This record gives sequence, C-alpha cells and structure tokens, in this order.
Amino acid sequence: MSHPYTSLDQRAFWAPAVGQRNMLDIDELWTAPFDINQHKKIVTFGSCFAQHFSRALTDRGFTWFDAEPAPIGATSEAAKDFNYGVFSARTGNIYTASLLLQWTRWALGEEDAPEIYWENGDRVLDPFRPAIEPKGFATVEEMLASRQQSIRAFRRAIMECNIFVFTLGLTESWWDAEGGFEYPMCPGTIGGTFDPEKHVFRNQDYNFINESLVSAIRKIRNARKNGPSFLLTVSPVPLTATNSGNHVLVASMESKSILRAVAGDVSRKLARATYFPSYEIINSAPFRGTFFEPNMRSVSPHGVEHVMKTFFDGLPDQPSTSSPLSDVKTHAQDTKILMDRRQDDLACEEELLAAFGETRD
Amino acid sequence: MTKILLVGDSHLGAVKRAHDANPERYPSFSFAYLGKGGLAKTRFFDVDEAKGSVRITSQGWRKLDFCRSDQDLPNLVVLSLPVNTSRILREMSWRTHVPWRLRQHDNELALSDGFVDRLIDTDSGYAIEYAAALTEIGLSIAALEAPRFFEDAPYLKRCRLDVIRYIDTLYRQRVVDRLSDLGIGVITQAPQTISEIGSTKMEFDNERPGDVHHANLNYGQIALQQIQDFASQHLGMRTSALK
Repeated sequence: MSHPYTSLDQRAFWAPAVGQRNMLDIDELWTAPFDINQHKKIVTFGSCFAQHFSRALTDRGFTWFDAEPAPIGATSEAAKDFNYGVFSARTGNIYTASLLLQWTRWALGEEDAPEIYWENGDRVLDPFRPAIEPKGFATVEEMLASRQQSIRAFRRAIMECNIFVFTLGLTESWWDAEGGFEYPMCPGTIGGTFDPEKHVFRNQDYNFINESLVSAIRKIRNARKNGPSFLLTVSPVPLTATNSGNHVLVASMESKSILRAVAGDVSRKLARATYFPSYEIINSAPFRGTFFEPNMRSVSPHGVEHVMKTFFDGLPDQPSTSSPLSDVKTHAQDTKILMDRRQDDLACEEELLAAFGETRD
Repeated sequence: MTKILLVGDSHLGAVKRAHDANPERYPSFSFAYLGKGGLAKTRFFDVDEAKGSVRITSQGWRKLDFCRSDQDLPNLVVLSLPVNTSRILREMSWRTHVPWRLRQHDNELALSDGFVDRLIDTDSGYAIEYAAALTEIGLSIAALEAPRFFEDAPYLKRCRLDVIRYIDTLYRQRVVDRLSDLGIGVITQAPQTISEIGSTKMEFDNERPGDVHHANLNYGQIALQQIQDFASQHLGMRTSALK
C-alpha cells in the first residue's frame, strides 16, 4: 500500500540517517534555500556563538562585512580585546530578539538610544555594551560617541548586507521599568547597580520573541529596496545562570526549545529566511555532548568546525578559499600603506649607507 | 675616558654624518646602528637575567650585546628608537579611523582613547622594554627623540593634518611619560627645527630628494650638540653625586 513515507528519501528516516551512522557521518542536515556564495555580503550578529560564523566565513573567502573594523595596522590582539571583528559592528552580544529590535529601531532613527551610563570607579561603562572596552571609557561623552559609532555601523550593516545571520541566545532578559528599554545583561553583574524597583526581569515567551523577531526582520528589510535574506540560528551554549527559579539545566532546555521553535516558525513564515541547525548539531543526543568542553557549556573548536562544515556542505557551490570580493577599498589602502613603508624602508637603507657605509636587510 | 654610545635606528644617520664632519669635537662618541625602526614593532631582543645581559635577536638587525660584567661599558647609551612616530603614522589607516574627539565626516570611524593608547603602547612597547632592560643591567640610558614628520610625508596627502598632529603629539607624550617613569631622560627635538604646524621644518629635510622621512646634516649637528649638552649635564651630575 502506498503512503506518504514510501516516497521519502533516506534522510527522513532515523535508522539510515542517524542510527546506523557514525555521528560524524550524519549529513544533509541543512540545505541553503537561497543563494549564499562568496559574492554576497554577509553580516553576523547575536549571541556569542555568532562570532564563529564570521571567522569561518572569512577563512573560506566569503564576503563577511565588517561595518566597524579596527584600523589597518592594529594587531589582532588589540582588535580582539576591544571587540573589533567579533560581530559586523561593535554591538556586543545581542542575546534576544527584542534586543535586535531595539538596535534596529535606534539604527533606523525610530528611537534614540537612552543616554544612560554606568560609573565604575573613575571609568564609564555603556549599559548596552558593558564589556566593549576592556577598561571602559574615560568620560560619558566618549562612551556616547562610541555607542553612536556602533549604531551608525549597525545601520550600515543593515543597509548594505545581502544576508543577515542572527543567532538567538536567550529568553531571559532585564528591562528598565522607567525607560522601557532592555539591557543586554542584568545591571549589577558587569557594571551598574541593581535596583529591584527599576530593573525588571522578563523571561520572554514564544509569542513575544516571535513578534520581536518578525518585527526586526521586517524593519530591516523595509529599510531599503531588496532587503537581506535571513539565516537564523540558536546558540547551543547553555545559560550561565538563570533567574527563572528553575534549575539552570531545566531553564536552559526550556529557553533553547522556545528559541528553536521561534526560529523554525519564522523561517517558515517569512520568505528568504532559513533556520540553520547549529543547536541540533551540538546538542542532540546522537552527538553525545562530544562537542562540549569539560564544563559542558563551552563549545570546543572541533564542535565549531563541525557546525561550519555542515553549513558549507549545505551550499550548492562549494566555496574556494580565495576571496573574490574582498573589500577593494581596504586593499587599495593596504597597498598605499605598504608602498609608503617600502619607500621609507628604502630611505632607511640609503640613510644607513650614507652614514654608516653598510646595509642590513 | 668618558664613553657615549649612540644606538638605534636610521634616524641616527643624520647625527652620525654630523659627527663624521667634525669628529674631533666629539671624541667620546661612538655609534652602533641596529637596523630599520620598522622592526621594533616585534620583540627584537632577549634578556638573560642570570648573566645580566641584553642581546639583539632580530634577524634584520645588527647584533649588539650588553652585559653587566663587561669591562668597557659606555657611561651613557643614547637610544634612538622608542620616541619615533613613523610607524604609527605611516602604517595605521588614519584616513578611515580618527580619535573620537576629532571625528568630522560620516566616513570616519571614531576610536576611543583607550584603543588609541593601546595602539601606541603596542607600537612602542618593545623599544621601551629594551631601554628598561638596559637600565636593569646598570647602563645609563637616554632616549633621542626622532624628528617629527615632514610636510611631504605621503600619508599627509590622504589624512587630515590635525589627526596626524594629534597622534604624533599623543604618542610622544605617552612614551616620554613611560620613559620618565623608568628614570630614562629624553633628548627632545630642538624647538628651532619644529614648524608652526608641528612638523619638522623642511629646511631640515634629508638631502636625498626621495627621502621624506629622515633629517639632514644640519639637523644632525643640532641633535649632536643636544646630546653633548645632555651628556655633560648628566655625567656631570653623576660625578658630583659621587664626590
């Protein structure tokens, strides 16, 4: 007798697709539903797991767009310490869909970012990016200038990208009761002072997250003609701590399950949106927690590599490692700087020859 | 006899040529050229604390070792290396990135003070550590400030002068402060060689037309006299202190 399952391919059946395979041979977990190639400008934002995407895309010669890069000539250590090159602008972690919506409203000029700040000794922290500078800022004015810089860069990322990658991280969030805005972290943890009257906990439910995410995507798309496609992922990293009252393990599973369900729904509901299963690759039972570090929270480099391999395997055209569309402006400026350096190097040699009668390479 | 050793990068060239033009006037001076200052961005020396020695290790540089137990250590080492803004002005993109206070245009990215300080510390760190290591083994060290940029520096065609001036001034002040904390004096660029815009006056530009980076013989003569004056004062103070 014929029924719908008779015509399905093997990937639809547990035994051949999972049960009878080595976990590393489980494949075809995702296929790109729209064009993702090295010529598309891709931006990445979200929870900390999103930063692995930027690194992998860059390594494979994709056009990862950094709207707020460190200056040419800065060391990679300095750039990393000041959170350059982590996301496509120095937004810091955007853990929730509602934070994405908040940043989008600021970037599109629908709302002004509140001019609030936290004092930490003689330094100033940005409540919306509390760890963006290793020692904070010297003045409120400097902090606000830096935040505005990142909002402008986030806007540029929105306006210029072809593909927007967003990694959902948390459902638990902290809000300002007076201002009605959301903090990325609970006040009092990294900076600021917790005020139980003012700082309100909200464990976001499915509907709120769904509405926030859809609203953010629509605003980003409507900000210009031919707005970007969206690739949604859920961070597989469990919560550091929960304020829900549940055990942290239970809270993590609930939180991630809601985010996973929202991402799936939104990717089905909206055109040119897809869900990429990084969460399942790290967290599902067949992988036996292999890709976690011993603390069972941090994802190991092997895990990240396997996630990204699954991503690239899902693209119709396998990428080469060279970058066809690297930032031409950057290269041009690199070349000028290199030429200046060569000219000065040559001058140094000639000066040496003139003064000391010798040269050294 | 007092021995003054001048050590460092290619900016020593002008001083050396000035010395060669009149060696009798400066009999206590000798020179040890290390290499191009561009290499000072990476670690270029090793310290052996047990032996009390400091050794140049950079492949592109002249090998120069100092050891606490050496019998003929100089009375003063003048180091032309840490106070040199060439690299940071030339190799950073000051057209696209500016200190946040100076941002004027939409296409300029604002940098925080902390990040600019980090760029300066990264650029100057090894040269300062080298000077500190030499003092640790008992040498008297002074730093010779390299000449400021010239008006025809190529990066001035693409970067704003006020940005370049700001970085140049901040770098020099920050490095001088750090050297001062280590007890290392700085022989600063002679005021008469500095223009109103903060560059080195073009009359002190290198004799070779293509060289937009080094100073000339006249500049070297002024710097040489400054070193002589510094050494007289410094070594004189030491002598009186010993009495």
